[in-house]
Amino acid sequence: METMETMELTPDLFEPLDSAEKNSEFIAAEPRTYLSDAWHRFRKNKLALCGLVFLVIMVILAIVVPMVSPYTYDGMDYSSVNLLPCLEHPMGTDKFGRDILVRVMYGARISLMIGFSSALICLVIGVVYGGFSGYIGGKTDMILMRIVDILYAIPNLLLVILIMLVFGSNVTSIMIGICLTSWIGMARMVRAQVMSLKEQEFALAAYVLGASKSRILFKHLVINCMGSIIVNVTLLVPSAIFTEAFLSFVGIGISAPAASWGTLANEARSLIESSNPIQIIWPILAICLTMLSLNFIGDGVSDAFDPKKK
Amino acid sequence: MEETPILKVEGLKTYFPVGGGLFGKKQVVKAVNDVSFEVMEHETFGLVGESGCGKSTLGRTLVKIYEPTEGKIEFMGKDITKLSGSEMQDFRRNVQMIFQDPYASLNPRMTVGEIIREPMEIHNIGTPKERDEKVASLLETVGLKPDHVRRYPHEFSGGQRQRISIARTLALDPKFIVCDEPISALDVSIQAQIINLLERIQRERGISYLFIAHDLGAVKHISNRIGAMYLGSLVEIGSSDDLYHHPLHPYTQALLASIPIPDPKRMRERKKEEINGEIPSPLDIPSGCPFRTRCPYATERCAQEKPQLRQVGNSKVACHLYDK
Amino acid sequence: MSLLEIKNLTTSFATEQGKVQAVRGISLSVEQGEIVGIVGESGSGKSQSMYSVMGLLSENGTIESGSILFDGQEISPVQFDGNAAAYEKLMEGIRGNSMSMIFQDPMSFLNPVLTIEKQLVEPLKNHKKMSAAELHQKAVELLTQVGIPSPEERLKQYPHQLSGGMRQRVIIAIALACNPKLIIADEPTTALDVTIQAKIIELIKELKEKTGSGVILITHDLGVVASACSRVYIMYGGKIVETGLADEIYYQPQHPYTSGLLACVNNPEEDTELRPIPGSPPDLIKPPAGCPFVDRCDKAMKICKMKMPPERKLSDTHAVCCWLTEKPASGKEGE
Repeated sequence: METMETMELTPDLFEPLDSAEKNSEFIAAEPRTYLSDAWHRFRKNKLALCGLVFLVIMVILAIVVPMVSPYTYDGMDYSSVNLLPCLEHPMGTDKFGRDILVRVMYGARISLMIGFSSALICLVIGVVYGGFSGYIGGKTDMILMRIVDILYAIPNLLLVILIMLVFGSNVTSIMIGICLTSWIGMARMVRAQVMSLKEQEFALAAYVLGASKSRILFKHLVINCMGSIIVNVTLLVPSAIFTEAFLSFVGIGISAPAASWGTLANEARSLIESSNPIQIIWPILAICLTMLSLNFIGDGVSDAFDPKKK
Repeated sequence: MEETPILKVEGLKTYFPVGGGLFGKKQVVKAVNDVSFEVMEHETFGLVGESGCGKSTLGRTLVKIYEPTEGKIEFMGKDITKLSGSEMQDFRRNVQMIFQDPYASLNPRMTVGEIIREPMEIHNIGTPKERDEKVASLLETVGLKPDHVRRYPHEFSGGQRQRISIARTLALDPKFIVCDEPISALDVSIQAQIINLLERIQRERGISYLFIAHDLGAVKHISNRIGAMYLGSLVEIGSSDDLYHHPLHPYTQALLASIPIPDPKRMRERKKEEINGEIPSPLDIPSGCPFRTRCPYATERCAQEKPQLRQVGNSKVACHLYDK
Repeated sequence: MSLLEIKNLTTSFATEQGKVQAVRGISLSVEQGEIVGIVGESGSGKSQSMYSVMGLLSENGTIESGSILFDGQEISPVQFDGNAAAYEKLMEGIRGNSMSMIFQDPMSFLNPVLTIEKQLVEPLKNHKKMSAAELHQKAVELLTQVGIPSPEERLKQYPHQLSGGMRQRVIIAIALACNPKLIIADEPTTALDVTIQAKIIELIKELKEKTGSGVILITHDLGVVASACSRVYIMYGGKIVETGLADEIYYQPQHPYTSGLLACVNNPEEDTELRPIPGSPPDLIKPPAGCPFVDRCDKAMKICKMKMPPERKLSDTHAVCCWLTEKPASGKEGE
């Protein structure tokens, strides 16, 4: 307003503006999808990003190392038992002369697989069960939720141990054991969110358009709880890995010669006071770092999907 | 104006049970309490009343979001309370709804294109290419640009979102649209835009509207006939001019007197003929005439006998004042 | 001296998409004992300018420049040179005491688990030294003042037991508790039914007469404030585009936006055609270089797109920012 002099006010400036030059429906911001928006926020969290990088490296190593290494996870070599870390064996060997690096990476396969697959199974069961219960409501919801309450009342570990006794100590029965109760949290969360979302006008709008129940549930309701679902999954993975490690450590999980991190720690336990006490360090280090990075990721993801952090 | 009714409502009641848990006795909210009216083809029927008068419940009952407790709803000669599966899909194609809150009525995880395309996907209309073309032409109809299809609802202002919502309802070429307070959440400058858009669409496509609002001023322009609703009952039905210039029911008069007008002098002079208090709880509807607790002319008779809608001059009114 | 004097206030919000320039250098003043209307649509910056005054901006909002003189005291955080603690301390003493706010949505402002009395005496406890008996006495007085019948019983009730209009009256009572010099009412009637709207406006008018406070009424509807305001500011795109006495604004609007607003309010007493303002408000992430209204204006000229028009005083009280009034004499036309 003060800089009036800077421009000469010629009459032609007062010609009517061409309507083509008007642009009242203009939106300045770049279009961005929900997920890319969340990724954008996630990237800003350095710790979470480190966690993600570590996890990716871990996965790659778990796949590659056992493939390229000259040793196998169960190949015993009595000529070189309980070696300290050296050139041929970067993490040393155990009491049967097996290469610990290969065994830790092979363990990573099992641990990560159990972690991710059981989280995935819980995701599917939890979302379908909770979504169905919340969307149908009424008596169905009441019955479904009481079933959940009963399952929840059974001590988790007891259930897992029972299942291991019945089905034997293998990956499948561990996963069944973990999945049997872990989906409950997911189901409850999805149910609560679906219940409040289904009264929203966009869900009613889809209903009035004639959309089927499953279309409304999955295309409109579940997709709007995606943020919380993903956050929940990032918590399920470490808890599954932890449960498996614990079971294997106390000796009722994966049994030798197969190796998960828990089994490795269990085996190394007896050597703590012997010639090679650092054997136990490797699996524990692997568990700790993986847990830590998963927790960082979980933290970053929950921030990224928090609508208040815009 | 055509004289064939497209929608005929008779003795409609929608009740909701409340309470009845462990504590407290079971009660019934009579949200819509014995309502009868007709909407003609190519007509806009306005429905006004304060919040809590049951107008939105009525609208939602008509599109079968709520099941009526009693009464008949006839759409194009068919009772919609008993429709078979395929008849139901037909009904859905013909009857649409525009919602009040433009911030809640669009799925935040879908792009504008997906939102407008969805009704065609549900009803299997057209090839993907035809659908895209239709989306573009609908966007143009409501004054948005075709390149807005990839954007998400949160990027738009309230008025723009309400236009997206209108485009979505038009995707099925419906014959009847329930507009549930489509302008209440918008700025005044945008309200007029939406009203004009709806009017233009009606002229071009011959759609009938049920237009719900709490503000008589807004309804006046778009409606041919208007019904005033109070605590679940229609208290007056008349042509939009009659209702404005000769409101009969004391409630309609009060609604009319409280419309704000942008004229300081007349607002200052305006006589304060106000009604007392606020709308009672629909759990506890007064006996007789529901409006009697706030009516300046209430008599003994109003407490005992519920007045019925009947013809007075050109309008229909439910009030004992007009008994001979 | 004015009760409130704002000069060149600029407020922006940091968002992921970029900086939203919500308020772009506005100046306004409010005198003791007058009701001033700030009218504009959502996104015009009308609420954010007042939140800036109250120091209630959300975390990502900052006041970039400008001065805010309230009752002779400078309360703009800009003048505190980064001493946020001192600013907060000052505002804590002012908010709810000599300056208070009435919010749009009574239900979300009231705490559902506290009785009306507890919420009513809260500002008094914070700012005044009073005994329990005095507090109760004052609470009863306040409810009577805002026209709530049987105040003793109401004080014991919870917000959900009151109707919408009653809740808004309670909010007004809370705002009045410490006899504020300035009351800012942010769309106090938007969430209410038409039959209640007029009464709330009437109440605000009456209370102003009684207490002599200055009142700022923020609204998007020129109709609602027509009976109440002595002066009106019209805001658009973060700027004040026209200001004047109510009669000047309503009867001789100069800015096309003001006339547009007037034309699209339904006036049922005259059967005029609805003339809406086309288009949507500007996106303030990239505010237009020229007049913010240019894209929706039916009288837009080339210069409007290039440069913001200067403020032109038409009388002591009436001023407008529009190139139409600057148009060289040769082709004078259009009001």
